[in-house]
Amino acid sequence: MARKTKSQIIFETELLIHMEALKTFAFHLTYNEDDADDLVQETYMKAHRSIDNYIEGTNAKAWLFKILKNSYINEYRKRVKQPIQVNLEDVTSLKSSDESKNQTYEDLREEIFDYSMGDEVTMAMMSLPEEFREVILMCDIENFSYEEIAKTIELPIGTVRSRLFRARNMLKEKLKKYALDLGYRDMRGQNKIKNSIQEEE
Amino acid sequence: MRNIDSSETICHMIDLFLDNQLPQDEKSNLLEIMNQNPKIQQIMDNEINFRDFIKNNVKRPNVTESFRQSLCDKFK
Repeated sequence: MARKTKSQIIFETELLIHMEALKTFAFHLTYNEDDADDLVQETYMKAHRSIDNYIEGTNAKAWLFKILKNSYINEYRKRVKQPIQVNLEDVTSLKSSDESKNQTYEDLREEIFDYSMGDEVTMAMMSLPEEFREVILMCDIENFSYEEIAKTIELPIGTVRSRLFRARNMLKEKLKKYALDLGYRDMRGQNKIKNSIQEEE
Repeated sequence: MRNIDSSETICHMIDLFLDNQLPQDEKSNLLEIMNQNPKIQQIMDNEINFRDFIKNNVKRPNVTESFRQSLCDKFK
């Protein structure tokens, strides 16, 4: 058996362990599992090609997230903006094949089913603008520090802070009913705290 | 040190506290205010509950074993 190189060992021990986190991030950028898998694969391909730029023991997760985000911006977003190319022969064969027709129907039904399972958080996240969604994902789901987020998405820390504050408020608005059921009371933007402090005094 | 005179400032401070971004002196200040005012403690608890709710309910799609294996095979 061939002996593993140092790069291979780093790749396996420091990079591959973040696959789940990358998939979650990719999924919440694309909302399509296949596209998320493609993005994760592309991220690892690029990381593998640039492994010499990675310093062992540093922040592999942030490095991978940055690669994924750049791939998403530079390739995925451009790709989905392109009009879909349709081959006439494919359309004809699709029309003539009952099996294919049923498959399309089932796929669509499955997609609708996926989003009607009471997954309110996913739906609420999905409705946030991308720049707000990504900071919530990095901070609240993946526990990145403000500094790591700032480096990953190339923004000043102050912008990360204010974006997070706004993003959380937007998410709370979307999830108000569920949050209320959980006992959460949103007092932001109101004078309730100030009043309560004065009451105490 | 920040002047804690508005609800928005307190909410910002609670956010920073939970994100571990608050300097030590402001941390102590916030904890002192919370001890004096249970309503602010309640806001902190609500914020923690809300974050837990998001964290526990966000969709995390599975990485299939076949996907993991095919990816690993590419780098062998």
